[in-house]
Amino acid sequence: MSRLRLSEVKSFWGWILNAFKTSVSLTLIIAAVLLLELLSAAQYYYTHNLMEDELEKHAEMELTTKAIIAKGIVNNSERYFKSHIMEVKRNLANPDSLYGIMAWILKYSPNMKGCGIAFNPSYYKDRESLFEPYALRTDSGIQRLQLASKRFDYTKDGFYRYIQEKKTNSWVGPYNDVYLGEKLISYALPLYDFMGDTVAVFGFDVDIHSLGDTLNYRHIYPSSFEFLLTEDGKLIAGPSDPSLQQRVDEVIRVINDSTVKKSWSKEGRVRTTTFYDKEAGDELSVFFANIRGEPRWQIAVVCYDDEVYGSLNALRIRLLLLSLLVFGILLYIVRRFANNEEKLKQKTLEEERIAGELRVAKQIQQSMLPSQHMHQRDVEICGSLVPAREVGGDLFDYFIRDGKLFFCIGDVSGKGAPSAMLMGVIHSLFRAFSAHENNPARIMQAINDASCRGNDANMFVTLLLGVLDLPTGHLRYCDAGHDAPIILGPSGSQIRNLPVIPHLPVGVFGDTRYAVQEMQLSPGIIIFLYTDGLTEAKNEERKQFGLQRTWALLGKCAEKNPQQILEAVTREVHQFVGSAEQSDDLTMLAIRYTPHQFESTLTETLVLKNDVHEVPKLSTFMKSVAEKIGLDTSLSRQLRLAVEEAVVNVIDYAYPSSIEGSIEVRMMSLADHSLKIMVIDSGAPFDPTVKERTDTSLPAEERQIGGLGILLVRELMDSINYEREGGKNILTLVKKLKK
Amino acid sequence: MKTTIEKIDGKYVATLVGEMDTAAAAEAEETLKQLYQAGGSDVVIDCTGLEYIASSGLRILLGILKGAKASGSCVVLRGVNDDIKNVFKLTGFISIFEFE
Repeated sequence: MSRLRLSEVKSFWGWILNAFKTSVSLTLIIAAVLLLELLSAAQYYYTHNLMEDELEKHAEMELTTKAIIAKGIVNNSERYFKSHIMEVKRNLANPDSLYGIMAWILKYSPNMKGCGIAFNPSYYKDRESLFEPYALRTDSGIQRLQLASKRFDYTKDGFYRYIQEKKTNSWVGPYNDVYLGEKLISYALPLYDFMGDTVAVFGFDVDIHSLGDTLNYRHIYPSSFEFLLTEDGKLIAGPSDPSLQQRVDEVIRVINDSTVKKSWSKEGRVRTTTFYDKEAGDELSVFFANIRGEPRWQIAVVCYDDEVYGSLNALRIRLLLLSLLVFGILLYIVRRFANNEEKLKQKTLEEERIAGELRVAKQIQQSMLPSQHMHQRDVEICGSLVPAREVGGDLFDYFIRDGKLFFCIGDVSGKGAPSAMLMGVIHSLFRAFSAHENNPARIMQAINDASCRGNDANMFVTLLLGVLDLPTGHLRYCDAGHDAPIILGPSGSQIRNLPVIPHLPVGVFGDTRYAVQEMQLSPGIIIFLYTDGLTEAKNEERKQFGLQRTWALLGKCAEKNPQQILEAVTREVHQFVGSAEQSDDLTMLAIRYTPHQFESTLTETLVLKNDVHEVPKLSTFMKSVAEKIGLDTSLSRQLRLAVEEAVVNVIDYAYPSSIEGSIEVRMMSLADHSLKIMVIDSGAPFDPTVKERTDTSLPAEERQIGGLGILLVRELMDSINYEREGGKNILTLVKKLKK
Repeated sequence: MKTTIEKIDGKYVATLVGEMDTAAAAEAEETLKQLYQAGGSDVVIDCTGLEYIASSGLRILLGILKGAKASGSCVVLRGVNDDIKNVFKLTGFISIFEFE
């Protein structure tokens, strides 16, 4: 117990209180235990009552029995004594013979202490005035004594005096006998001679000790004791144990105290009361009754409650301890289960949290994807990504910048959250590098460099990048270990793989060198890109969907639009897979090239030398074109500015200063009410569209001197497109004319 | 294109008339470059007669502005027409210059 610290106790108590509030099962257990205790208390109460009744009955029986015995003893003595009266009367003239008679009576009355005749003073003339022949029982036999002497004057007290006063048979005492020096109770009667005159008092003394011992011979309870009282409540005989005397006196006092309530027993034969004895340290139950007939004595028995109900109390304590033990065990079990419950709850919460986070991650991944479907004038795209788990390691992306379609499809090794994270990185890199680079091989290179640095997880990505110049249909692409896309059309069932150089996937080696490939797309061509989740989709027999099946299916899709193609493929795959679990992310991207070439209603061309002094020629040129088409001055100035900036850029960057070259400016008015301006030169390859955008929000001190030209071109025109073709830089600017 | 600079009331007043294309800007710079170090005096550039400006012209104006800010003086553009104002907007120059 000394090892139990206050803090531990407090925390245990606190735990209990808390457990009450939170645990239903604990409350139930407490309620059950309380009910049990209640039941046990009720049982105790009833059992106690039953035992009380039993005690009463027992005490009654005991008192009855002992009363019979006591009465028997006393009555027998009385009767035997009385039967000798005649003999005594006849022998009155012979006083010496009286000793013999006394001794005789005493001999056959073992319960008498003594027997004697106290003659009236001077009855016998020749004897002393006080003459009392007496027989006394001692340890060494029956003694014959002449009890009276100068010292012991029986006329003064004792039974002689009492009977003389009473003049009748009577029980006398208890009183202290002077001669014997002890308490006596006596039966005496006046003795008459044959003439009818009183001559003496004839009586016998009861052996109180033996009477008391007889009473207390067998106890109903170990410490019980019994005693006899006179009618007026004086002790006659009781237990001989001197240590009990005080208690006996106390009980007698209670019996005689009329203010103490006494109740009748159920049978109505004895009266009873209980009181707390301080010396005994216990409740005492007292049962007493009057003995019927002469002598009119009372008999009482005293029981200690501890002894009476001792077994019941012991049982109660044992039950209490047992229920505490059971409670303790149940508490322990509940605590264990609560702990398990708690752990389970935590685990479930944890799982829910993770599931929740994956759901959010899935949303993020979904939002990273471009819209499923894009339909523009020159191109139609449809993509779909179905992850095997909440989040996937596949990716597709596309966007249009400066008249070029940038697209990609990729597959990270593995699936699930780790792959999804890496794919997020690759996606960001693709977007970042494509903002300022039109060459897919260089984009791939940059992505590889970035992902090889700090790739601790040894994950790699298969990737296919493509850049399609929409005005010209010129496709540039680069493959890093990814499945070759399938080319459909432009007509009928032409189906073939896009020829790819399968470089190493991205993120494997930092020194991989990627090369660009080129292809010219005819109008109506469909590019179908996919990841191995399609070709390796397994059904229940673990057979794969396969490339052949894919080819066969796509062969029927040449006339379909990208959305229809993806729907058809998805349907086929689902049918094939059936009820088997999706084993890998399923990703597809279909691109249909549908360039619209509009007729030009007017074409004007101006050729300049690569000299800034030629620039003013643009003024007149633009004014004349504006007049022909019918443009207002403001618009015409805008267009002129855009063209001038484009031309100046070419002069500055495409042609090193010493070389002479020419710049062609071609203005076309198209049937769709747009103005197309082409700036063509045969200088060094120079792509103005990949320059960093100028930050127009900077304050004056931080503004850079350069970059304004291309900025103005972008802002003034609706679209800008650069393509290097046939050794020439072709910059195409388009402005939509509002009519 | 014509470029003139005068000092009026302690301020430099540069007047630009005509079209300031790339070629004209190169010539005009010869005159205007003295304003790169205005030496504390405010500069007013009168563009009432300016019909057109290209990026090289904008560069010169930026140069003048930087020089003036460095010496604590200010630059004001006067009478800029809508087309040129639009160009200023597109390039973000609208927020760094003061207009009259």
